[in-house]
Amino acid sequence: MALHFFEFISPVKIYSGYNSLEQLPHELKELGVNNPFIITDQGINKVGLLSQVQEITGLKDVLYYDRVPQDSSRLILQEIAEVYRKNHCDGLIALGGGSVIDTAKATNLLISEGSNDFLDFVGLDILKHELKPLIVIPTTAGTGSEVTGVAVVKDPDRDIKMALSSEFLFAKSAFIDPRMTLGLPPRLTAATAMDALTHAIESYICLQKNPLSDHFSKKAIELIVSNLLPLLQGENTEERRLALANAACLAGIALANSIAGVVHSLGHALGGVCHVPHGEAMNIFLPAGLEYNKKKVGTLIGELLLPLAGKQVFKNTAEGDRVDKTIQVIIELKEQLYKITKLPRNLNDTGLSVDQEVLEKIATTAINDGSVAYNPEEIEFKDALTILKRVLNT
Amino acid sequence: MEIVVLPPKRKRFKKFLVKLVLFTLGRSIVSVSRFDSKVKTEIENWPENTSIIFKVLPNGPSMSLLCFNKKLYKKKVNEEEASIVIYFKNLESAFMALTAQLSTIDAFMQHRNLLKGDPAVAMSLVRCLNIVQTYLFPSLIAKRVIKRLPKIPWYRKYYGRIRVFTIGITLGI
Repeated sequence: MALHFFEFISPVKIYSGYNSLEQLPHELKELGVNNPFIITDQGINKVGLLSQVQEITGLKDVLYYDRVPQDSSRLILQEIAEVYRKNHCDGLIALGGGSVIDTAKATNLLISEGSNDFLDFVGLDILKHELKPLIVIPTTAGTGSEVTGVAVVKDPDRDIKMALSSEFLFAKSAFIDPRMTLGLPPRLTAATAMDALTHAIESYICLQKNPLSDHFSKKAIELIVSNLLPLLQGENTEERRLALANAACLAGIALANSIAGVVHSLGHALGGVCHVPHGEAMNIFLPAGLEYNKKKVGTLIGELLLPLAGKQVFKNTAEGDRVDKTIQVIIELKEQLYKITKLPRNLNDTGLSVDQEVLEKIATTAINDGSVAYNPEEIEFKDALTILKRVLNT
Repeated sequence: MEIVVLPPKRKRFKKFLVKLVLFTLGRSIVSVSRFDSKVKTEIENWPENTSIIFKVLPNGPSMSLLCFNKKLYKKKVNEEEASIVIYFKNLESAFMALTAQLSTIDAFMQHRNLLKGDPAVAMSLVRCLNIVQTYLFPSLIAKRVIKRLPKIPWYRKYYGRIRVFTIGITLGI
């Protein structure tokens, strides 16, 4: 089932670099936004990032909503849309991590379509109209949501995460400014970086991969492995932060065009059922997911050894051994992250008590996740359960 | 310079063939859902009154299914009220996907299809289609359009194939 045809889309205008936020007022003017509405969460507000952005951009009197939870539900989206409509705003600014950005995208959908229920739009490529201008300022370096056309929102009735995907969900512009991630705690830095690494790796091996997304994936991997550990070991500089944020952005572009596979299916399911943060779930499942797919795409996994471990290791590893070496390098990275930040390596480390019933619920949810379709190897219930059991303790 | 506007080809034969295959596929899914335990279980887990439409855009043939009392029926369903709609963007894409030249998954990978509705039910439907295709096609063809052939004992596969091609497609049972 080789891909003989592909589409590639990346319509977001990216402002990346030191002091990039200073250009936000001009961008708002270009987009014709006079009364923007900022969506953020309380954590961002508490650590002063909201006021920092307001000060830098001069948007001091702009209306904001800062109660976005980790997983937004239908009610939250309705509440935000209501505030937006009441105040006659004409554009959105998402300031935060994946949850905030996805919430802003889904809210934009409700506002632009005049609807109250995002479930009306669940599906793939079914939107038909342009949405209101959305500007994204990521405060983590991982989700890449600033450059994807996907919004993941929780359906609390069924404990699952629903994905909306459309080219109209893309933001108009993204501002990647290292000042926004400089204060990110080590464990969150590690988790979000592993999320970005998973995006880059899965985009490279999954079925919708294409020559353009491949390049974004490889560069993202290079940037992550050369900056993450030095940063966590004390070099918390703007340069390293910018490199990680750019890596997340590159991996996000690859993901938007290639989509993910089994690691994401299981990660979404674990997040939905047990509320494990997405980045931590990615860290837990990544090696096991690669192991599962190595029969079908071993060569591709082996090719990733070059950006992951560098020329010397790649050259010194026999071609047939590269796939296992790639997985080994990721496992070693996980171990180091655990030593420095206590980032969970397996389900046991998360402190959850997962019995057979919970594992089965996660497996059932995982095989119904849309990303299963993009995984090279078929995933049935028993396959998902096998992977889950493998990551219980290792 | 005079501009000559060429009318699009009518493709009557392809349209007829797509209509015929959609009809056959609909009857086959219903038939397989009556005797294959895996398909039965998948359908039992769908929400009650789940309705599915396969439609060729812009005005091509369509086929619809309705899940009622945990059983699947080939029944006309209103597009606005359907739980899942799988659109083929054009007749050519539908022709390729429905004649086993392109797998269900590849059709999505190549953006030849659109999906409206809950992806969880859509994924379950894909698993059902994989099993149905295993009964319909010889392994050599099925392997080209399915990632991993579902494990079905040979005697059950041949029993199912005979059943689908005799009373399944003709009578829809």
